[in-house]
Amino acid sequence: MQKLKKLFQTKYHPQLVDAIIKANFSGALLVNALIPVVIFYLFLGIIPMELLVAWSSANAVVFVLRLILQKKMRQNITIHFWLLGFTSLLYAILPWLVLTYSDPIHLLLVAMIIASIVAGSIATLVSIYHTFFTFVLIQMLGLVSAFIYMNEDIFYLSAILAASLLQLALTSGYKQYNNLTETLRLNKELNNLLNNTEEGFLSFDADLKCQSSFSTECLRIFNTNTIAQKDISLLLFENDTYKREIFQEAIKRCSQSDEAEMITLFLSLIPQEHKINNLDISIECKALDNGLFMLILKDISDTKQLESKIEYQHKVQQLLMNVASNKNDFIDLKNDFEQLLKLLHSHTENSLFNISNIKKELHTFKGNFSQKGMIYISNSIHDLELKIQNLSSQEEILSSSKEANLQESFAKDIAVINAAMGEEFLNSSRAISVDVDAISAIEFELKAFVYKFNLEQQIALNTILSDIHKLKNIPLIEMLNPYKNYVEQMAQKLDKEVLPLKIEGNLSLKVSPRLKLFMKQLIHLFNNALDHGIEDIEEREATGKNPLAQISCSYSINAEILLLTLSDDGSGLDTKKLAQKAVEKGIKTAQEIENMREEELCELIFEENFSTKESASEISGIGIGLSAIKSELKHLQGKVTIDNQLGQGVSFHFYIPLHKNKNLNLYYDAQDNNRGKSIITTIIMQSELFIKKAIQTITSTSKTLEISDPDILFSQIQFSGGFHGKVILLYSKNILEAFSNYMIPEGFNANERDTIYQDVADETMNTIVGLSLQYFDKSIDAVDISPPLPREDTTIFTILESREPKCFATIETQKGTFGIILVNEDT
Amino acid sequence: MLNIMLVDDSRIITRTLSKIMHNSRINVVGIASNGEEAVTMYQELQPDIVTMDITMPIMNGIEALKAIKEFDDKARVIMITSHGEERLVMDAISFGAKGYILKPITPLKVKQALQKAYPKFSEMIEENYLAMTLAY
Repeated sequence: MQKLKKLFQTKYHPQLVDAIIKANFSGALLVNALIPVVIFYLFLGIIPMELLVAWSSANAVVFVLRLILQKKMRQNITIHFWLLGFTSLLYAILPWLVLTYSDPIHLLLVAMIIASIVAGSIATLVSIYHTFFTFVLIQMLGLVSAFIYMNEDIFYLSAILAASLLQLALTSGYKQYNNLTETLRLNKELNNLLNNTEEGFLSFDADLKCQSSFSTECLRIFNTNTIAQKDISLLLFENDTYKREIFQEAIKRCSQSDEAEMITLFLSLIPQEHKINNLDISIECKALDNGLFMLILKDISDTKQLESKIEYQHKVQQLLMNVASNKNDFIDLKNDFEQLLKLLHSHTENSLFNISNIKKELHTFKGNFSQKGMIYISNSIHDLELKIQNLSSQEEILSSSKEANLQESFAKDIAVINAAMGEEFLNSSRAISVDVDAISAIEFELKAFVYKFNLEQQIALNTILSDIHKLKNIPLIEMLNPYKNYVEQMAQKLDKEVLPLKIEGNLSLKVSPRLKLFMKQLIHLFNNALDHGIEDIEEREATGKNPLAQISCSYSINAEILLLTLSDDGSGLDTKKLAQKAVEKGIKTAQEIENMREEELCELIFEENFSTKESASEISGIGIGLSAIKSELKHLQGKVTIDNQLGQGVSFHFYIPLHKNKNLNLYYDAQDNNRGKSIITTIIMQSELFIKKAIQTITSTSKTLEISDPDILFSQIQFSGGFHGKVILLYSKNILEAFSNYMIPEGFNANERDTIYQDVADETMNTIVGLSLQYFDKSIDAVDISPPLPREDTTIFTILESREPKCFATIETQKGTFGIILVNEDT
Repeated sequence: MLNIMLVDDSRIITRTLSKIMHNSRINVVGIASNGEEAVTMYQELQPDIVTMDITMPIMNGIEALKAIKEFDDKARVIMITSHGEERLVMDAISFGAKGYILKPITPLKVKQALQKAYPKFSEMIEENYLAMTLAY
């Protein structure tokens, strides 16, 4: 390769230059060689001094001509040439000194020989073939003129000269011809080699004009017929102004500099890779010693493709690792997403559909998928998000969602997993997720008939129920661990220097699976911290912080409340900016902002459609992620406080009750509270007995609060002593009517109805609870009951307001619905 | 032993460089955090090689390079640069910088730049390079 390049460097019509120099050289040599002969004849008195003068002068002329030629061709002038020139000049000067007289014939001859040499030299410049003929021709003319003037001496001399010239010309010409054909052949061979190296070779001058010699690969790369005389910087970097300017600047500086070292440094700054006509081309530039530059272009598209394939494989491995290590997690994610897809597709125009929810869900899924390394689906969702972020019409969003064809990209990712793990991998794991469902099913069934056993059996069963329920709990650390990897990868992607995520907390702590979604949504908070919170390394150094940022997460449990803290030591939240943005976005008015406390301003980041960055990045910034956290937190009945220190970092403290509605600890949620279990089962039993007496039939007893009647009355009673809590009974209007008819057979006035109903409710409560007391478990020593509580007590409303009121039972009858709630206040 | 002086306002960069230099048994004689400091420190220490960040507070790398070159025409200065600073690098080269290292800094890049800037020590650097990469 090296050799080829070297050969190429001399390719500037090298044969021609070479031949010219050689011809000229032999001409000069001839002149020089003959001079002693001429001098010899001179001494014999056969030829005049003028001839010698002319001859030597001609020699000097040839010499000068050659000098010009070689300079023009930027060739080195060898020492031989200087020697030759020196002797030629010496011979020219000496005869001039002795030239004293003139003779017309002599002058004519002198002129002719000068002419012959000049002509020969000029001819040499044009083409070597003609040189010798011209030489010979002019010599012949000299011969003829000598003959005409009948000067025998001159005639002989000319004849000898002409003969020797002819011989020299023939041998030299033959040699030159051989050389030329050989160089032409070599050149062809070389071209052939160059054209088959699959590399683009070309040269260009300091004005960036391409020269006419180049290898054919160049034409393929630039997709053109010829590149001769075209601007190379435009050919290479047509669409990239910055790279083009760098290229031009580097070449400019190279042509101004004459230090090889410096030139190499300048050339090394030229972009080494660029996409030209969809080909990845590597670019190597060299300075040649004739003031030209050479480019070596290589098509490296295949290598690039291979590289991206390797990168893809790397991602696939990451995906597989993720899936294999958190299989259940992945199955859940997959099922959830498939459900969302189904929802998007089965949707009709009329069905209720919360657009902002869909956006939120998509965003969360995107984060989770990209965390898992599922490239296809996360890219598809990202594209879709960009498309729909400014749409608000439900129709448009749905049609774009359908267009985005998320199924297909999702299937691609799943296919990757199936290909590596086998299809049974994901299917077999479904069995495990069914197992969890099976637990719920068993739980449900047991609960449905638990009261049918006697008390001791019930207590045992309830203990089992509570244990079964706990089986579904998940170690909290399992939900946090994936973020370790995530933080590392994201930091790399964002070019931030971050220490490994610090997680502190009890490893064995398990929490209810209902926290899963919340834990997944924390991804937005991590993104936010990495993207906006943590500063560049330079900035961190400038402010005297540890250049390596730290994100940490800690959790603990206190009084059945999970405290989860997420903090970073980044720049903190800029509340002024947040406030400004909130006003700009129309989320709050300037006046509202003025009245807000610092803490409230911080919470603005949880507002919907709130983002302080202008454009959506792949990582964060669409402004819906954080609001998703807030709404899920609300669902979990938790709250968040923000500890913000501008410039020092921010901590988010999440308080999440381990069980829904902390003041509504129904018996099976309360840990180790057999008393509650025993009480509620007894009350159900007594309620059923009472209802059977009053209405005769019971349709069903279920575990959920399903009172469709909007008009519900209730009565509640306080337990104290061995058990501390409340019993609340709920009645639909029509069941109360039936109870009233049963209790007051003589009937009552319609205008008394409301008071009667309330009295009947309280009386029913008294009857049922009173009858239950004797059946309570022996472990509950003494239980006192208060008179029915005043209805102003609003506990019931808190219970009903919570999205999933945990009601122990609903007893459905033909006449109406009866509900029972037990509130355990033992903590 | 080759004496080197590091000039950079980022402690991360100087830390990384020091580590690499230490592993290749190159003596870090001084660390300056801006151009002005670098010029005075150079006059005092006269190290064999200087690595110089381009963007620095008080006096930038190019100005510092000029000042150092004025003081010692034979000074060997290697610029530390990042993408997008090509023009500045060209200026630096015109003013006599002997090379440049494009961030992020790796032992290989440091080795190549040192070898180019100081061919005399090329062999020594080569020898220590293995140790340097292993320890990095």
